[in-house]
Amino acid sequence: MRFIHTADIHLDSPLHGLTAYPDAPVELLRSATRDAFSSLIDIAIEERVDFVIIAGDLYDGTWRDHNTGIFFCKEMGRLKRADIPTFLLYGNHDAESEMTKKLQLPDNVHCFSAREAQTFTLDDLKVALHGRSFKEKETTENLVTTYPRPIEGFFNIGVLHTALEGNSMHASYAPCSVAELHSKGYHYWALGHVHDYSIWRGDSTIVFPGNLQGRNIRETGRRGAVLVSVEDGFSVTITRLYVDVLQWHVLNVDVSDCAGLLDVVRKIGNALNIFVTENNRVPCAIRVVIMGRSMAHGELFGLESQLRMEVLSYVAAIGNEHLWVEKVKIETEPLIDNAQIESRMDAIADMHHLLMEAETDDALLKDLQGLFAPFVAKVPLELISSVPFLQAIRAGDLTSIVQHVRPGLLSHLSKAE
Amino acid sequence: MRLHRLELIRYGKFTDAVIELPRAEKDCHFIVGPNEAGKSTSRAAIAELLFGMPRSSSLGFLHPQSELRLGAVIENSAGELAFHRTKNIKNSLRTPSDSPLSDDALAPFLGRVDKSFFEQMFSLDHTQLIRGGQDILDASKDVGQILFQSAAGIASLGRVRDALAEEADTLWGPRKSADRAYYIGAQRLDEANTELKDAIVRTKAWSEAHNILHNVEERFHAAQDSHRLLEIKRSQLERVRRTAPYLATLREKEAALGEFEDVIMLPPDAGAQLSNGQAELAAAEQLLQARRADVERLQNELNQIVVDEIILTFKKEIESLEAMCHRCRDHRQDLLLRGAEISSLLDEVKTASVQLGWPDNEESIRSLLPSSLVLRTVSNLIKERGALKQATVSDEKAVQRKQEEISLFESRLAAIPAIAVSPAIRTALAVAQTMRNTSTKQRTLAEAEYLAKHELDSAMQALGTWQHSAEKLKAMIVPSDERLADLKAERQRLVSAHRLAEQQFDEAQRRLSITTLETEQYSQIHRIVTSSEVTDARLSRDAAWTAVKIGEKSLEAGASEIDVAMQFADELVDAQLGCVTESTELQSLQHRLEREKADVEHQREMLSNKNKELSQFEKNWMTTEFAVELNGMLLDDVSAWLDRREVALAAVNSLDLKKRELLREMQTANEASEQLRSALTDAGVSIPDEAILDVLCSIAESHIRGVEANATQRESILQQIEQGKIDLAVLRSSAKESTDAYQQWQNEWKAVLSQAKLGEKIETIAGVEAAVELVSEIETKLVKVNEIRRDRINAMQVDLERLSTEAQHLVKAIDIALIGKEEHFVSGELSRRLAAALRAKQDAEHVHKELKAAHANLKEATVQVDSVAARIRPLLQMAGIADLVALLPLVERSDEKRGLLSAIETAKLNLSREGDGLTVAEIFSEVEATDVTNLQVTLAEVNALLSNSVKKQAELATERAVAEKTLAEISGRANAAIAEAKRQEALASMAEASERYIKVATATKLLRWAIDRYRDRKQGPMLSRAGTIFSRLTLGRFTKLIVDYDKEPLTLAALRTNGQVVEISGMSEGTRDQLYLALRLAAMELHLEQATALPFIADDLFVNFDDERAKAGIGELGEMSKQTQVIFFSHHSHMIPMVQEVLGSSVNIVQL
Repeated sequence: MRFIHTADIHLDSPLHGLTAYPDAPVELLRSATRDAFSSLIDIAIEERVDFVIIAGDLYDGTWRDHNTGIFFCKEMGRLKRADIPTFLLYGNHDAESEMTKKLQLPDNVHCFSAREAQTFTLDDLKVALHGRSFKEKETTENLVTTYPRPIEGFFNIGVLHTALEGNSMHASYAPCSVAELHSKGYHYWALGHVHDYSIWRGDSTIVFPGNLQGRNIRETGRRGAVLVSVEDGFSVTITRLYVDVLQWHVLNVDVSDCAGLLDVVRKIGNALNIFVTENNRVPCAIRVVIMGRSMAHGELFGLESQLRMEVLSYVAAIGNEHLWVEKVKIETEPLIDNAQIESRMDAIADMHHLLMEAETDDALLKDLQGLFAPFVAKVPLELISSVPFLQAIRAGDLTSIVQHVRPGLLSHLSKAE
Repeated sequence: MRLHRLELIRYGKFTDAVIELPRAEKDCHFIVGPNEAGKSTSRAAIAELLFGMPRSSSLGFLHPQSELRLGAVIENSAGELAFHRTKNIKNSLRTPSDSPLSDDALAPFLGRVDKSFFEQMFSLDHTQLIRGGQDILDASKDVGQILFQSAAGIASLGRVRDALAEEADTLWGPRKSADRAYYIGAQRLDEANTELKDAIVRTKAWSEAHNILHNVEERFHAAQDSHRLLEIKRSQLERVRRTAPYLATLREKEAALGEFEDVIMLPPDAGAQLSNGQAELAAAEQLLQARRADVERLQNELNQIVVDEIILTFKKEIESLEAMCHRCRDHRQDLLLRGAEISSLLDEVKTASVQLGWPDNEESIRSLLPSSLVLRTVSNLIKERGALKQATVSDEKAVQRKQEEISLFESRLAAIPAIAVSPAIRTALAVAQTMRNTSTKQRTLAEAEYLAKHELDSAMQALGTWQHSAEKLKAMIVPSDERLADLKAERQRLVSAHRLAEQQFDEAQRRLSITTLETEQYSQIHRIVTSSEVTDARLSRDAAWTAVKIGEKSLEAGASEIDVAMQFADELVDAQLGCVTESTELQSLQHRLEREKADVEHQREMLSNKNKELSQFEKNWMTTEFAVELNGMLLDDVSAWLDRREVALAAVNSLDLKKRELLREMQTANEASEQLRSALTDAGVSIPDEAILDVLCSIAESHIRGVEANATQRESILQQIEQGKIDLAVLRSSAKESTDAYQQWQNEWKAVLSQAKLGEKIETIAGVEAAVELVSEIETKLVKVNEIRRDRINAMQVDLERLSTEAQHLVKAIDIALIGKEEHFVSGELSRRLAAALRAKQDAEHVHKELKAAHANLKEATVQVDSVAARIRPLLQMAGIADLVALLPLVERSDEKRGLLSAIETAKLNLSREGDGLTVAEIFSEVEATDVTNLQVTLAEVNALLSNSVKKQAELATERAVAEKTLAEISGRANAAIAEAKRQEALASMAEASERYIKVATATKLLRWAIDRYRDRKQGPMLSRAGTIFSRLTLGRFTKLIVDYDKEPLTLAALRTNGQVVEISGMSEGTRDQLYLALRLAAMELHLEQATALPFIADDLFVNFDDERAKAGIGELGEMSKQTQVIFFSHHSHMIPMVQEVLGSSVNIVQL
């Protein structure tokens, strides 16, 4: 007996932080979550699995386009034609979505009730599926306690949307513990909510399959669902199914030994080449983080835009269909520290002192606030949340911005000749 | 730190090169060399020596990269360090013996300076000077920027700030612009928002669309049913309308058919056959008649034509005669002309023959003509003779010339002596040449020795009373700098403590005297009754009373005393009560006085202690070995004296060195001179007795040049003689060949002349040439005579004979009447007759052909008449009659019956077609059941209902299409998701632009703010110092630099001696460079006041300076060299005198 366990599909949820630039693979990736889900359905049909479990967060809670639901129904229709039933459990996002209530699903899709724990049985396979959907987003009670006892002689599967012992990255909905799950007497726990793949073996096999498709730079690495094979009634084998169409990756490049922009670009180019050689399975959204104490620090301060363009050219040379540059983040540090600057006792050292003073110069800070006020006033709210500088300006904290800019500016000046 | 020596061990083009940079009063060194001398290499070497070599050096072209090596001796006040720098990544610092030094071994000398800072601050080349000058102009309205750039050693602050501001402007600005990154993103966001709004479909919308479609579909199906019923009704009515007329026709025609039962049915086309047969028969008979007439006419015409058959028999002969006549038309005239031509040619031949002495008849002439082979041989020999004769003569001349030439060379060779230069001279000269300028060098060395001695004397005198011999000075054990510094610091501490103790003691005494005075004055000013006074008064009172009480005194006697005592006591008490405050104050003063007295004592003791400590320290110092040796030199004087000792020792060393150098030079020069003199004398060269080395060199060089020139000349002449002999042999061989060839020719000539029979009288070559020409002419003309006779005259005579024969033959055969007529007449007559016979024959043939055709046509017309009659015959048989006229009525009746039958059939077919598949009987019953009279009205009503139904259905179909479209749009498409993705992309680009904008805008603002601050703080001292330097650099044309405080932003300008203010933009390029140099030097001076000094490297700074200003510049570098070592590179050797003039002749000049 084999089935697919997936969760956190977040259909039509957009990818965050990707700036479109000429030749970026936009068309390929704007429908990433759909493509990933369709691939999963393809696999289900090709592999002729016995059933599919979706353990919550099918949609984004705030997403209102009914087309997403229709798309889901069509994919379920494909499963129906292949005679594959689906067991769908609603998570916190689904509880928030109005589509959940109105959508007319094909009859091969069985939804778990939100009022109480519900059990579906597949008598020919001797499988029992127990689950309870979220009635509302803020479900903080332990739902496991309401799940029924296992059915004797059946392979019992618990389907649950949970933060499991308070996973810090995710809202702590429907909390419960691993021990509690093991003690429930089920053979397999099909969990959802936490976006990273995890597995616990013990009295039962407990699995978070992770989300189907990474959507931002925090969700790096390959993503997908799991194919669960049950031999001899109870022996469970887990195979990961990677269906993501875009992989997120942070590429750290140490440029300590680089003297200038050209060196840095060359080094990044090498790193990208190696990366592509080793990771050519799916396109990647890549964040290039440049780090290290480097002579190039000052030059990079002034040439951030040019650096990005250079990196994009490199990517174009490699092939834009492989890579999408999310960001080129400069986190280098100057080669010489403050003490060394001061010991020079020249104008740059004076400038260093002056810039230190600038942090506490009220008139200057007020001036800066005045400079940025009309800008911040024009910026849309959702942008503010993604740019820490904007948050600082709104909070009147210009000092932190000055502190951030100072070292780069100073290095830039001392390397300006 | 200063460089004492720079060693270019393996570096660039250098191998083991050393640049000495000895310390002097002005630590300024001038390194000069032409282009390619290695000046830039040396400059690079200093930076790489101090801070390491790059991983890949461009200077590894001679030595392998891995073997590049530099060395140096550097020094500072603490001592000196000799080290090497290699290209190793680790342990690149080595000792001269190649042991590794720690990587930070140079730190005590360099402080915290890194390579980049060193290059910016301590290294100034012409490019930077020019750029600095230009940037001053760019920033001429920004004093702060000028000062900062100069002081920081960077020249691009303005560009940095402008670039940042420019970038900020491309990212965001208050004005919306399609060029700004933020607004590009914002525009995309707006578009994506609109797209999202259009694309998104709420669940409620889907439900509504679904319901609407369901509803409209139901209504549409109902309308379709209703329409279908109406269509059936209309169809039935239409059928009745269509079939009723056909039904009526059917009935009528069936009734009429009864009258034609007996009529014979003839074929449907019988009528046409009848009328066509009649017409065709008449036409065929008419044609038959016409054909018969044609035959008759043509037969007549043929009979009338006569043909001359005889003449036709001779057709070919007549035509041949005609052609022959035409050809021989001019022959008779031509025969006369040709005879005359032959006579003329023969006359010319005879004339020529006479010249040759030949007879004048044609036969004899022909027999005497020589063969053409002989004539050609004679001509060829004439042509060859000239060349052969010429060759013989010229070859003989060439042999003679060559012999003369060889003789000349031999005589020249004999005149040149054959001697060689002795090796001894060469060797001695090579040595002597290296010493050639020895007298100049000796003078320089002697001068240097004198100066060194002078310096030593000065240095010794500077040692004052503590002068010693050089050996003693060297041997003297001096305290280390650290020890001295410690001692000085200790003494300084003790002196300070002593001074402080003195001050504190003085202060305590001053406070005590003030307090004493205050106390005294207070007591004097205020009458203060003390308790003891009151007690005393009370005791006096009580004593007076006791005396009275015990009777010691009588009441009377004691009363007044008691009263006085009582009053006094009371007054005192009153007074005491009235001065409580003053009393307390006085007491406080007195307490203070006590404390201060104690303090004075304490300070006195402290002072005494400090005094003892100091005395002890001085005593200890005076007893040290060193101080004793220097006869009690004060500690404070020791450092200065030690420095002077160093100078003196350096001077001693320098003097020794100079002496040794001079001695060595002189010895070497004498040895070289003697060797050269001896060698020259041996070679027999005369030499003046007083000749110095330089003269000896010149004599030797001249001698060698002379000998070598002779040898070269002899060698050259010998080669020429050798070559001459070879050439002579060749020339002689050639001359012999020429003579032989000419002899051969003469033999041939004699032989051929006798064959040619040109007459013995002809002796000269020209005569033979003329005779050959005449013979050729005669031969040519005789040939022509033969050609005319053979080709022309004979041919024409043959033609004329043939013509006459042919004509006679024809006349006899055709018409004897023409006998005796001229051939041309005969030919013309016969030709005319032949043409007439031919024409008659042609006409007869044509008529005959027409007649044959007419017979054929006649036969055809007869057949056609028979054919028409045969076609009509069956009709007559069918009708049973023989006459064509009677047939016509029968045919008409038959056609009428056939028409009726056809109408009946047509009606049945129409009913079947229009009856929608119903039988005639069904149609009949349907028509019977319908009110045909109201049929149109009913039909119109049904049609109206149907129109309405169609309209309604169309409306519903549209409605359904709209509803379907609405629902189809919610078919799971990804438009909204794509729009949302675009939104996120736009937001990401806006975030990126925002972040960068805030960064660069902040940086711009910060930079501007910091520069302003910098100006506020540094402007004063730096401008003042730069002004002074600038004034000196411009030779006093400008007095100082000023800032115009009335302008915003503040502007830097310079003040001329005449009071004129010159802004930077008004300065020449050179003056701007001088201003930048002044600012840099001022900034450098200020920097050196507080930081470690490193050598200042100046590279060809004075390219835009005139000579006088260049001297001023050198002077400023000289001033700078008092603070730190200055190393000046230049490729202008003409600057050396300037440098020596400004900095003194002892300045260190290094020639690369």
